[in-house]
Amino acid sequence: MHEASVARAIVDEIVDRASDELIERVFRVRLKIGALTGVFPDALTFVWDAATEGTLAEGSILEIERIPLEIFCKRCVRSRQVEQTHPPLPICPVCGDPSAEIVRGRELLITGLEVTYAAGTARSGASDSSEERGPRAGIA
Amino acid sequence: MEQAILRKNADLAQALRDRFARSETYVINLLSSPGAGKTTLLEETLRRFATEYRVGALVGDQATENDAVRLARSGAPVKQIATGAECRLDAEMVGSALEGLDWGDLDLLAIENVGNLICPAEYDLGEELRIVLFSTPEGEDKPLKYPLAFTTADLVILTKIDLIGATGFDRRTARENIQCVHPGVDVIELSARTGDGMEQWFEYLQCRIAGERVHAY
Repeated sequence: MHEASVARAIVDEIVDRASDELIERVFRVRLKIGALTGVFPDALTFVWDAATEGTLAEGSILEIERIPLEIFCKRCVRSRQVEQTHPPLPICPVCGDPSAEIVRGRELLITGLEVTYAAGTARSGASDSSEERGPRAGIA
Repeated sequence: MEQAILRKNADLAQALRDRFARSETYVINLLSSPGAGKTTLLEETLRRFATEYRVGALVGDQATENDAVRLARSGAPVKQIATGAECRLDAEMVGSALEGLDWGDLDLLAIENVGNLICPAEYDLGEELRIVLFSTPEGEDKPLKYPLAFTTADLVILTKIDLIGATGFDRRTARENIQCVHPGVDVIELSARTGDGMEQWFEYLQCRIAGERVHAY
């Protein structure tokens, strides 16, 4: 269970971004978590309050979109979404062929922040605090 | 906005990979559940390779220096990384540990991860070869229980094959399960205790260090 260190990594990224962009408070953090990762959304939510305590994201809401596992099946010659088993296996649900090509399901991404800026400009509802300013180096 | 949560680790791992490439140091990262035989395999590997290669090892555990003491008997430079509360190594820990190790001349650096098949799978350490070990007493279905680790493996090593008689382990089912989770991945079966399969592993590693794209099935 390494959700605590994953939560700290998220907070670190937010704090970095906040100092670059003069963000004052973070109210909401949106994530995409793939099914084929070692991170469980419930466990992440459980540690979120402790991880954000005393930071500019304290009291923020964590919104997690679960990304199902999707593989490319060579026999069917198409992408297939794998039904949610725990853990999901990269096997074609139609023909049963195992696949080494993971299309989706490995995501560990921050996809959006709702913030206020130090200047006092509230931008509630904005799912993205930086896109309009152009992504900085290192942002996927 | 789309930013990798583990961006810092990915950046640090890439920097390490670049450094390893410049110094021509081949780096392997060993993952397994606790007790699968990582340290025993490494002991034998360091001892064997120490005569022809400059070898070294980093070993991660939440506590104790026991594994480092065992590995240091080979005469190779070894450093223990005590991870404390963390259940895996990350690129930052590896980078810090290397500062105290004269590793630049090494041909082979082995990194033994914390015994755990979940968390370490997520963290790139800048390695060239990721090895996932599982031992026959653990049962044939390990790959099905921990698919992430096995999908990220370059090589799967089935250890303790000398215990097959005692455990009733079915190696065909085990191999099917490995291929089910990661079709085409390299597989080696061995016993570090009896020496069975060790020559194949040594040859495989030698070829990899030499830059040859060998495969094992």
